[in-house]
Amino acid sequence: MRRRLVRVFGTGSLLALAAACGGRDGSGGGTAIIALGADSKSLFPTVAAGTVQGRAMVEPMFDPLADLGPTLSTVDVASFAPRLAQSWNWSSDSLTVTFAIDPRARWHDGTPIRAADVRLGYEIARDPASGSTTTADLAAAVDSVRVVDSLHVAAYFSHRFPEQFYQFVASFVPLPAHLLASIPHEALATSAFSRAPVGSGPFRFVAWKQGERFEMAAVDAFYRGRATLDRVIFSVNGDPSTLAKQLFAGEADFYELLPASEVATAATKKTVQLLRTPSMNYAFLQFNLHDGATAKPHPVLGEAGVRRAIAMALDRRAMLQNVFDGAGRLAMGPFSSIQWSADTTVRQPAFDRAAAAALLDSLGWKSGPDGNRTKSGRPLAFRIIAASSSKPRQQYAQLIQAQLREIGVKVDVEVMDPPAIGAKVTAHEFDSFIQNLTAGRSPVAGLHQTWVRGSTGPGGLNFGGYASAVVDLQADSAFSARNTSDARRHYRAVYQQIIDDAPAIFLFEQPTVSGAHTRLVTGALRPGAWWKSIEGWKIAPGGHLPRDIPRDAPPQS
Amino acid sequence: MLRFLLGRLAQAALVLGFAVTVVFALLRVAPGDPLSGSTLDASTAPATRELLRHQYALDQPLRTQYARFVGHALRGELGMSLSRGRPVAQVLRDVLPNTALLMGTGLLLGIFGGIALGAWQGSRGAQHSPAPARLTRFSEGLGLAIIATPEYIVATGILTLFAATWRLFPVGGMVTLGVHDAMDPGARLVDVLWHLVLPALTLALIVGAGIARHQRTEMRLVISRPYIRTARAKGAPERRVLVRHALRNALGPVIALCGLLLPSLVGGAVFVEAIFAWPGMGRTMVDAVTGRDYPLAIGIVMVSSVLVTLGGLCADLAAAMADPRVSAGRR
Repeated sequence: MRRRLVRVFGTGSLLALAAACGGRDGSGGGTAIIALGADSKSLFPTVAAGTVQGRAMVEPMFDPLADLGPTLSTVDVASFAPRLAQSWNWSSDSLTVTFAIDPRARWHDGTPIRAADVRLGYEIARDPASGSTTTADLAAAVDSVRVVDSLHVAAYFSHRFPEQFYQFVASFVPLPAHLLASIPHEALATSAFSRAPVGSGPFRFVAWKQGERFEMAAVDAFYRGRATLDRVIFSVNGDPSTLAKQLFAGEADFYELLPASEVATAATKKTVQLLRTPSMNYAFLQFNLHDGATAKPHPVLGEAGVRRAIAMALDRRAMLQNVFDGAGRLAMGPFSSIQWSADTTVRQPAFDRAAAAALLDSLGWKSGPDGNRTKSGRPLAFRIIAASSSKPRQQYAQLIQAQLREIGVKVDVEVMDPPAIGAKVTAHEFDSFIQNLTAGRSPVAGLHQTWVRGSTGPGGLNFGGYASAVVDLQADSAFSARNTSDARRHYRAVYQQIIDDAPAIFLFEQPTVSGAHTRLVTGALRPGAWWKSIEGWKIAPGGHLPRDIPRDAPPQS
Repeated sequence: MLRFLLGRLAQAALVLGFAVTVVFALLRVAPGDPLSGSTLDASTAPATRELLRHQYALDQPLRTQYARFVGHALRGELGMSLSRGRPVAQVLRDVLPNTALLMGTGLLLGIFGGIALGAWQGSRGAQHSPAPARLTRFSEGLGLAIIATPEYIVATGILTLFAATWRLFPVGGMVTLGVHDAMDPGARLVDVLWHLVLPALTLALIVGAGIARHQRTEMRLVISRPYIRTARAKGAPERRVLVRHALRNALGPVIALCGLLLPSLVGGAVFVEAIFAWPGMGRTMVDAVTGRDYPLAIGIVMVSSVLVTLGGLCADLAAAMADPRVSAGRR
């Protein structure tokens, strides 16, 4: 059968042809097959931005005005890399920035990109009817966007803050007004454009069979220079073990997220390279501070002293070692350690079980003959919910259960699927659950949605009902600080207060482990956005396969 | 026959209505809805979430949702898939042919292979059969092991051995990515068949193992009957005795069983498609249920119910053809 297929594809001469074709300078070319765990609901940028997979598929097809530079700093505007905007100028009051569009930039159908496209992209992202995930970020930062002339567009900010530039350029992409201006925003997510988009990035849409595969090809006359690969094909399948096997067998060149169970096997494969990137996520045990949905404090976890004792009784480093075998990182607070505001010197709860037991004794939680603590007849017990989709979180729940038993705290573990957890925590019907939060590059959204007072409402992620006047005050100061050193100082105060109040216990940051075939040269991957460097990926010399033969196909969906 | 057909079709409509209602209720009773998973995701704006909830009528009472669903279904509208952002009918149109190819191949291989194997094993009991006993025992043991092993394990085992370890077949998918579209039509067909081998073989084993066991028992029962002795006494060749006299009479119950096996085949396809990355209805069903994509899950259940009912009907007709007494009895 293999011989038959080789006959179908041709012989070594075709491989030589594949090696010789494509690329900027004739040395690149080739096809990379990327194994993805899930497909995107839509290829419309505002909708696709809701999932990592959607972003990976769509962002190479759409250029933003500017992108993070090599330092990945969201506050250092000078470090941003020009994309559709070749330059930008600030007003003297720092409330207006005017972008100059690169006159060479074209939509994939050949139409020049103009200022009206930028305004349309902004308006669509600002409107929740479009399914946008960034409406709130834009509404909080930007007053309006005005077309100055066909190649200049100005953004007016409502106030000054360190991340205002990042907040603007990262929250939307310009969209082709000549194709989309007449479509109502609520119809965009299901429009023909959402299945076969015309973009502005280094890759153009070729074909999409939803739930199966998605293909894009390099734009030959791309204004920033052609991508090195000819084609990128995403192979979609939900089973992580099969995806890993596809990588090991050479059927895929890259697997974005190797499951922990496959990492050891991958390390033994000569054709597979492991690529580890720091995580943008941090996981924590979130407590419900209230008794269900009522305003009454939780009978056990409503008491700050109990929460602190629990924090002191947990050997977080031992758990980290146990679950990740040295590959994980300790979460130090409500932030990802690669955020610019991260402060890993904040004071941590000391691991001291004797002190934890003494603290519980002093609070009136006394050990009974069975070793379990009670107070006025109420057992010191609570339930942890962990997601069925995450083995590490389940392991953590069991380890916490075992460690707290040592000080007489009874813990039940319940494993549920994410939609069921979502329903439970939204209704506040939980004691505690292990949450894994994507922090994002900017600390603003994460703090706003999870830890400050307003985040207890609908749509917020502060399911435990934590509220602290100190945190709110310091967070406000951090968000509106004029410079980064002031902002850092306020963020540190926020983090320290949250750790001291213990509405949650910060557990781990799980590094992302991607697997790549040795024939694929990816360079360093950007944490949380591995696809950002995809235009520079290439096939190693001698690594070409029959699938690297270039071909032209009309777009289809 | 027409009356029989009409009766079975009415029965099928009832089964379909019942299955869809049960699935509708079960999905709604399960905690969470299509958007509750995203409540844990900071990237989905609350306003967007609420807007989508309203768009898909998830904010309506259950009664209203059900009435709305029935009304649309009677007009042939299955609604929009929440996870795929397009009409359910379109999604089904994409995945149904793939599942039909996989299940059809698996079913045919399983039925004919199972019947042939079972007949051979059953004939081994006959005193004139030359089949070596050790081989028969081995094949029976293997069949029993397949029946006793969960489908998930069977599929994973086959994938690991034949694709991941020995590299004889592709690990997953339906086509060779990056190459398939450039092939000529004949080569494309070969490519699809090459990808079909392992998943179809897995389904065939799951189906065939059960059929073989029943066929073996039926065959042994029939072979012990007096008319087989009479046929042999009259000097009929052994092959003719086994095929024309014994196998034909032993087929009826097995054919009826084939109809009953269809639901388990549909269940098996869910695992097989997921493990072999076959882009069919089973894999889509898993995604729909885990993502609480109500319209898509119900659409798939409707199609599966129709398939199972039609399969049962075909099995009845085939049994009638194989044994005229069946249809005579019905009349």
